[in-house]
Amino acid sequence: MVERKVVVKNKTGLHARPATLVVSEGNKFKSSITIKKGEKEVNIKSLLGLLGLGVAMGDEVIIKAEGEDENQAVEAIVKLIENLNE
Amino acid sequence: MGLTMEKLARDLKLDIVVEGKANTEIDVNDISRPGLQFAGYYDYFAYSRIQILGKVEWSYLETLDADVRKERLKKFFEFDIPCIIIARGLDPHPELLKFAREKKVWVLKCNCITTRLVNKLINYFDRELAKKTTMHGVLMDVYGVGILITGESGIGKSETALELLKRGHILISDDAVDIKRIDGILYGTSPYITAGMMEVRGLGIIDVSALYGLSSVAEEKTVNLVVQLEQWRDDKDYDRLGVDSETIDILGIPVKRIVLPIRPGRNIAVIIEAAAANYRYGLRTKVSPVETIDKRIDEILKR
Repeated sequence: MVERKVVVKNKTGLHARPATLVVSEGNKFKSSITIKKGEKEVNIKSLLGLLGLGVAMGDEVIIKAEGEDENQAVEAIVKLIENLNE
Repeated sequence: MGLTMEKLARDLKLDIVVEGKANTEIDVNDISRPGLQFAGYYDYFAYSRIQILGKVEWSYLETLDADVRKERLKKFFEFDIPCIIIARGLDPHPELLKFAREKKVWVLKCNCITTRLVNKLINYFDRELAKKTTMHGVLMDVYGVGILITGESGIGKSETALELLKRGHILISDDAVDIKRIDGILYGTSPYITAGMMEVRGLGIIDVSALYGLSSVAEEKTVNLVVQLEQWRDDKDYDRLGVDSETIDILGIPVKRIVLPIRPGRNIAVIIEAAAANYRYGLRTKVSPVETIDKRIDEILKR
């Protein structure tokens, strides 16, 4: 299992549109991937789950992946979140 | 994680009389009524609990001479007390306020009677301090049975839920279900942000309460049964008799789980309705259909 912390820096946080980008990135990988904010952890491939977390600008989240492509998955998602600009 | 005093005061509408240490958190859901301690008994004293002062404790303090009261309260405040709540809107004695300020102990006040306050606190703590988890799935109320539909992304959970909605069943949460364990029972709710919403591939996010009416959604439901959807596998032996029940552990509670294989021509919603009816039947009777069949076979053999 691989995990990495990332701080959400874009202005709107993970609102509907940016969240969709994260979900579709997650769906590119076979690993099971989760995102954790505080005590709550949800499946990153689930849009409503991700939206339900209510991730705002400045929040720190942890991306965890487990599976054959876990390294690439965490790498890609962290990169995507860091580069969100909406 | 504990509960801050600010949140406690806000949620239960308690007045803050003395603001104590900023990082005070409550993590035990018990209370203490320190009448015996005011009388000088300290062999057993659950000081880490919330201390409730009702009419009994207050009146007892009232009977004491000011000097004695000061001594008794001084001893009381030598313990690391998180918080004192005074019921019935009683005015705390000045000595109590003085020590509370010195020791930075929270003092809150409420107008309700003591027993009600205790009741309210315990119910509140049971909910707030309950063990929690979030599960990936759809929680629905089907014939009064709380069914958590699970399975991989894209297996058709939301589509099944849509069909169940159409048949008059009730949605609690889609995709992510927050589950709390209170008094040995699991309660599922939706995160506030996505309450009443559902995601259907191809349609996007739909507002279920707007499309199907308010009676199609509910805020909370117990989790009684887990229905796991999976791709049909020819090599797998699915339960044929329905007697070997499998369970899944959620927050330490075993919940009955049914694995439903998906295949064209299988109407999953109808099967889930049957599973719900069967679950209720199982609660009411001790005889399974298999036992009935076995009994009938015996009858024929005896003839």
